[in-house]
Amino acid sequence: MVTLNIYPEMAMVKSACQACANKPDMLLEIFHIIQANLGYVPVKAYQQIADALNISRADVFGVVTFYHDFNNSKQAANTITLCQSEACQSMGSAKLKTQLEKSYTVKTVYCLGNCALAPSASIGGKTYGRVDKQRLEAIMEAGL
Amino acid sequence: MKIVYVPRDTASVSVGADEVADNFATAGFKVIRNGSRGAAWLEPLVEIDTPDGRVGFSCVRPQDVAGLVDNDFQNNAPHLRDVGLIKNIDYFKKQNRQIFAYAGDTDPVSIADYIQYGGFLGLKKALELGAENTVNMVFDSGLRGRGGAAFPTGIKWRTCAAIEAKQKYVVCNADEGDGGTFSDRLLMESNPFALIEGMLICGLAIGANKGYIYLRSEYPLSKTILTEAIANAYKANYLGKNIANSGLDFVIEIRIGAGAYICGEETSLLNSIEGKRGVVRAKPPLPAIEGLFGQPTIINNVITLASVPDILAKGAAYYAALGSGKSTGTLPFQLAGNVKRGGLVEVEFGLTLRQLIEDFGGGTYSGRPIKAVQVGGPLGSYIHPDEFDTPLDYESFAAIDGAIGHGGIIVFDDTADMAAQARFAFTFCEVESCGKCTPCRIGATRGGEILDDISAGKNVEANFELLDDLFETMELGSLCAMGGLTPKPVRSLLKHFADEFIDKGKVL
Repeated sequence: MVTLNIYPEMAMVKSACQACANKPDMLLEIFHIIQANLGYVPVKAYQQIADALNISRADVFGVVTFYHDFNNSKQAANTITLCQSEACQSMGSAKLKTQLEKSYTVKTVYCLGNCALAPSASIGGKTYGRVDKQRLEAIMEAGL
Repeated sequence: MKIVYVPRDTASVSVGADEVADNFATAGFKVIRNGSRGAAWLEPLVEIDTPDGRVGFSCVRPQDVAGLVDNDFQNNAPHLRDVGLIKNIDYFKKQNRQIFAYAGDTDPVSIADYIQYGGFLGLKKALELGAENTVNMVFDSGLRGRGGAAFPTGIKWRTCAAIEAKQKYVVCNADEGDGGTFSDRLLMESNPFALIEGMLICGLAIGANKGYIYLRSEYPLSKTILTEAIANAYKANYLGKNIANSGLDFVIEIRIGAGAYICGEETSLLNSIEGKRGVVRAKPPLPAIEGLFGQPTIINNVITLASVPDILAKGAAYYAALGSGKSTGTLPFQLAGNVKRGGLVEVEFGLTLRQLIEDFGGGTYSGRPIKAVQVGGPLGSYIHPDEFDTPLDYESFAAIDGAIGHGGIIVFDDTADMAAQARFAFTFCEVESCGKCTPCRIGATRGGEILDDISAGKNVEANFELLDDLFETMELGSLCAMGGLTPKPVRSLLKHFADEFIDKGKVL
């Protein structure tokens, strides 16, 4: 099927599929590549990916929406991903979340695997341990 | 040039190891990024060589580097952060490290370091023994799956080895999603060749020439280190064709997950590697018979596979003599949460929970009394201090309705709200359920609603009865452990802290 809608990221999406040899089992990897480049997986790309991999758009939609990692729109620049699993809860992560939500977009993740140095957060793909409001503010300020 | 060791694992880096390493490099040192020893409470643990062995400096901050260089490294003044000889540190001395024996001594991606400390001796032995005897040795060791279910590894391998097939696969489950666990991460970041060697031996044993490591996306640094290690293994011909001139071929590919806890369940994981939604498959067929792409597949946890090289090198009897009863060997427990000395503690099965959290953990981080600890991840029970003398082995924990799981231990102090923890168990299941079976998909939501009603004081008794009924439905009717075990933490909380639920109900 020919994809009629044209959008700016088409070339990028095409090369992501090609980098994975258009293999259907590489679908997650394709999403990861696109998201690493664009910050999200555009809804417009679903049909194009489906065509490249010879699967249905429903398959693509089903997979991309199943996994928590993939977004269909750009994330706010001031996003902090805060761990809210039990080890971090025991160190007050719920309260920290409430504090941070006043100034940041806070995304929840269940476990960054840094449980002996809780609470933990992830910013720009890097994990930070023993965080509090002050330390996170400093990291965000340095990064933005 | 003077050498300084600065660990490169996620935990060390999360508290500034990269900046510390940079400052040492600027000060003219040769910095070796070693693996972490797993004592997270000491990180970043900087080490230097001395004639007696490595000496460590704990919790080094970037701004401490100049002082260390000018004074402490010259022995001018004993430093606050000087922890002395690493080999004399009690926390390590009291452990019985097998899989993590050399973690921290080595550069995790150096094959030469790995070989220096006995690496690839297990593979050598397996090549001598041949496939069938390798399987037998793993069987005789009594090794059980470390991912949580504790299924005997030897039986799994034997099942898969017995099937004739053109293509078989070895899949490593590195989707360590349980809150409070990080032993897989630490293994991959401190001793990745043990995993690679374990996968090679498994491939040889069952007749597979291709392996996948399904790694969770929350571990980007593990991916980096593992990728380097795999590349080095290819270069040294420990992966690829005709490995070490043995005629054995084996390749490994890393696949990255995408934030779905359920993909730690083996059949969901297989679907995810195939590029599908990570929904659970009904069993049978067992993956060992019909797994990845419909082919016979061994799926083992990181720690399980990493335990194999030592079993081969030292013998099944050596391994089987470690541990207690049917729980043979060692388990790297993970002390997490509100604990003073959190980190990885590899000991033989049989130590009591109290010994672990008091002798190693040193009590809570906050200094307050311990209220409960959750053992075995989000699907494991909360253990009351009255039960702390239970030995840590699979059977003893089953006897108190608990589970060792993947060995995660999360400590809570007396400020914890246990009713909120119970509510979280349902929230977690609601968010992470794959949605394939009804008891889990609907049960998680309904369970949460019932707890909300109870805490609001609505029909408390009737709702407790309803909750009990729901537990049974979930436990008996779910396809996998996600729905089947979500009631477990809630039940344990109700058993030990019922007044917290009921009081809330009456007050409101």
